Amino acid sequence: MEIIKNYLDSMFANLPVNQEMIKLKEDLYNNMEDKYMELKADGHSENEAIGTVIANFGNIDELFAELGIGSQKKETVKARKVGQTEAETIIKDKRFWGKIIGIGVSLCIIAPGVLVLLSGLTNNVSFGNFNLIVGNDINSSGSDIGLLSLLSFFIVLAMGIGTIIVGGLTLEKYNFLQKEVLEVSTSAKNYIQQRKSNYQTRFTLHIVIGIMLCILSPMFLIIVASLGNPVTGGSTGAAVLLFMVALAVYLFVSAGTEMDTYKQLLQEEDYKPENKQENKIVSAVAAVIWPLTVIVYLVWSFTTGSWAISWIIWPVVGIAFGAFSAVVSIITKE
Amino acid sequence: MISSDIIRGYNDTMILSLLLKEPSYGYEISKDIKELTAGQYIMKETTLYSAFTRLEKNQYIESFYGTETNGKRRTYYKITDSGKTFYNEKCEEWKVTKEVMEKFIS
Repeated sequence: MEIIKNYLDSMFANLPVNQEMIKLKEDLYNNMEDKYMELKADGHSENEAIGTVIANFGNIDELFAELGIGSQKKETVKARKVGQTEAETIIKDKRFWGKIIGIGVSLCIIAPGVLVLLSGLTNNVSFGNFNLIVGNDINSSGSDIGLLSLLSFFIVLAMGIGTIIVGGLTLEKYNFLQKEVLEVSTSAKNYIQQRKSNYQTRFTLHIVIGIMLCILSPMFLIIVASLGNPVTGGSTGAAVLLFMVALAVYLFVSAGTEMDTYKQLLQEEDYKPENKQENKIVSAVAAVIWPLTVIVYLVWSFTTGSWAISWIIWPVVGIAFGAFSAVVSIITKE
Repeated sequence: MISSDIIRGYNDTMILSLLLKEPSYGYEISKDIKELTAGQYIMKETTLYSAFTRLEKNQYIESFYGTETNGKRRTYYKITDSGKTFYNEKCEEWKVTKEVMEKFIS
């Protein structure tokens, strides 16, 4: 009997140990044992019985193909192993730096808000065109505030961009989560699953609050504008709008990073091993498109001073990029 | 000895046919097949369990734990209503297959 047991053990050696496998192995073993006992009872020798039982076992690959684990052996060679301690560190780092990056992105959105607010207070409507402020208004104190507002804008923007870069570089070491096929240990998987389901409610709440902020933000613009001074009111309203959007974006980024970390570790949805190829294409395009958008946005806004409309580039590029990713995913799935 | 390539498409039908009579477990089914065919067809262990997996996934059979015999807890299988429908379809299919093939057998 020991031989049959060893034979079966060697067949299952490279496979994940889970409830389904244990049960399958036990069932197979019971059947083989029954067969062996009966052959022995029929008067066959021990060697004959074992030989027959093993000959009638068949090809294990047939069974694994049916269970959907046929390619398991090939993948384990290049899979990146992740244990529980590493998973805990990854989640901790990603959560922390996700929030930092969220703050960085928010600062970038707040920056024009600061500019709008400070310039608005000086009654300079054409805050975007700083030549006007600096050049034509030399005698009034407005020029100082104009400079001050411009300076604040760049300081906040630089802080934002700096924060994003630091956060991005720190998290770069975890890029393998999106690129490589992972082999997460069972205990780590259970841990991550637990964290993910604990987080689900908070995630939904953050996204809902973010969306509500986005929807309500133009309303504030209208309310503030209609209440106060038509000129300063307008810029205060615009600043409030930007602050609200910044808060919403912070919620999206921090919540999204945390949820994505769980999905990456569990290799769900976009992060399934078979989807990783498609992610590579999308992220390569994203690496070009978004910095380009920033440049276009800043050049357009500064040269023409049309801050009021230039933000439209973000939703337009965003939607176009979303459509592009969808097309890529359809093509690669085919 | 029958070729496993030929019979492959009908392993499921054999198992369903036996389960139509009563719920059963792995070894009993493979023994029944051997006895019914007078040893002309012996279903391999892995073939049997591939079929169980496939049939259960398609909800043609259901598994449950039977009572212990000889200190072993066995997984029993029983046929479902859609399993019965599937079995009848396969029987019809076989009749046609047989008719077609016989035209070529001398």
